[in-house]
Amino acid sequence: MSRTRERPGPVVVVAPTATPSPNDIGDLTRAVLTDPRRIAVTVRPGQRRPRTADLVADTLDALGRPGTSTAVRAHLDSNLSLLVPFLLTDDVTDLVVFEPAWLGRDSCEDLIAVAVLAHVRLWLVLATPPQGDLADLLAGHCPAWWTPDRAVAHWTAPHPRPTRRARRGAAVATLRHTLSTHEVSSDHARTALAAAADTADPATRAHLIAAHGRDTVRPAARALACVPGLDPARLGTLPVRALAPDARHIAAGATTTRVPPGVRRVLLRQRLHALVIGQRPGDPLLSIDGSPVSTLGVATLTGAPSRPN
Amino acid sequence: MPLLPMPAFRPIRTRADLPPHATQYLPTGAQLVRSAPFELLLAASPEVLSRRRLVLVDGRAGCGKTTALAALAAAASIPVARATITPPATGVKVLEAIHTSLTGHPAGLSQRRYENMLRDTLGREPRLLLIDEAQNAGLPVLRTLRLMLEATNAQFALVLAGYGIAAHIQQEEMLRSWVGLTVTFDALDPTGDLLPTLRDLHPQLAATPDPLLLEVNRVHCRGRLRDWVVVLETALSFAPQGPFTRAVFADAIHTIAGTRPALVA
Repeated sequence: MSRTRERPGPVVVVAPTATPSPNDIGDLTRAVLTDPRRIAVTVRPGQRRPRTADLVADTLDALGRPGTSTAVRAHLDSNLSLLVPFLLTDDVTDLVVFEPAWLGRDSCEDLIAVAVLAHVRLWLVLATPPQGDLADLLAGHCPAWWTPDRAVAHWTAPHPRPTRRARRGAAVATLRHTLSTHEVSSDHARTALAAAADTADPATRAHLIAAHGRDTVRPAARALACVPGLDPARLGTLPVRALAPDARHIAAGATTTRVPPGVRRVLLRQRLHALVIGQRPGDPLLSIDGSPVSTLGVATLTGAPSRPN
Repeated sequence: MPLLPMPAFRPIRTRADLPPHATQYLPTGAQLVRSAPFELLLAASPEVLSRRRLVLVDGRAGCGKTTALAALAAAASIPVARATITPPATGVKVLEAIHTSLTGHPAGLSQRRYENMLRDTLGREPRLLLIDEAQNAGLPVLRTLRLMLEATNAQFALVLAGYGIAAHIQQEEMLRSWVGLTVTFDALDPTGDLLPTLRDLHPQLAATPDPLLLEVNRVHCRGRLRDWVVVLETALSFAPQGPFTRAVFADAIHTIAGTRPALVA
């Protein structure tokens, strides 16, 4: 088995030529988790409403974001595109989805589109060779399907040294691993994080919410409050277009304010989220429905975190 | 695949080796029937289950599957949870039944939270999970069970019992690939194990002439152990001692079925 690293395409279909044994599935799962920047989810069988609701929640879990509130909240309409801001700004290179056939063809197509938008390589791992429309769709994106052995060899081959950002995110990587291996269930992780956030000092709490929460608005509000030179009274009306696409600057009126590097990622995530949910360039950045956020609302968002998710 | 620590099973020889609730349907004086599939299940399961392979217990209704599961539960030396799937078996209902078997109470959760909780619970300590009437589980439930088995932290082995379960499980090819043992409980064979089994079951049956037993089997019991137990307990109410007669069996079957059988023996 070659140990050299191949260069797979943006979408890789892994399908066995015969029915794999239970050991093969275990090998695949373990091999996936050798790199914390590679996250894995398994599609849950059966009818789910909405169809991709659990996939969105499981992907956020796999990102190390089980949430920081004990209340379990449906993630808006559980549209797959809501993953884009997190996949683009969290430290992740590969999304491995086991049993994508259980999603059906249309949801698989949506998943591929989301992965392409989010610049993550999508691995679709099937236990049995797909049939019909789904096979045609997958062949269109990945003409030469990989065998499970080849995928394991690729995932376990020596990979480049982790980036400084990846090393910094050791806590996230650990949580990703424990959630992906089910050593800790997402419900327990969420409860533990909520308890930790409740008793932590404000800075630690904000960090926990930014790293493990599923909310983009509240961390962004706090980040804006940290940008020197911005008028706190105007944060609720600051439009989406004011924030540069790379989140390095905020252009408010005639003045341009530099965004400190430490909060850029959070703001970038909120900008992406605003675009995903259909906010227009002139809509307030911190709003989810286009209406301005009141001063009291901004104060609530930037103040002590009551119950973010 | 990690092995499951599986200390040697306790021997199950008589009904006294089973908990009272597992043998409450047996009439006084009746013994546990240790048929060939029963013995095979108890002998082969420890090795298969320690490798976390799936054990299937198949066979028609009334042929001893549920009693065999009770014996397996009594013999096992690790904690056992036992669930029964009743239709309509939606995913959440099945998960709730399994959760209840593990914790003693339903939790009223969503399917997702049940799945999370069960993965958590079934990864905490070695366990044996016995699911009866598993033929009622639909394909999504079979897939969910498979995902639980495949979880990297899983510390349980699974036994599925039900009429036609071996064929039913073919729907989910990956779950089928987990199977390590299939034991089939058939109706008792009048030319083979019927008479020895009835003699083992109760001393009054042992004292009854073989032709009469064969005739009762032909007209009513048809090799089904459960039907024999019902006939036995009814016949015992008419004749608590001595060998059973044609009249006693006729009265017993009349009581059970509502029509008088034409016993020719």
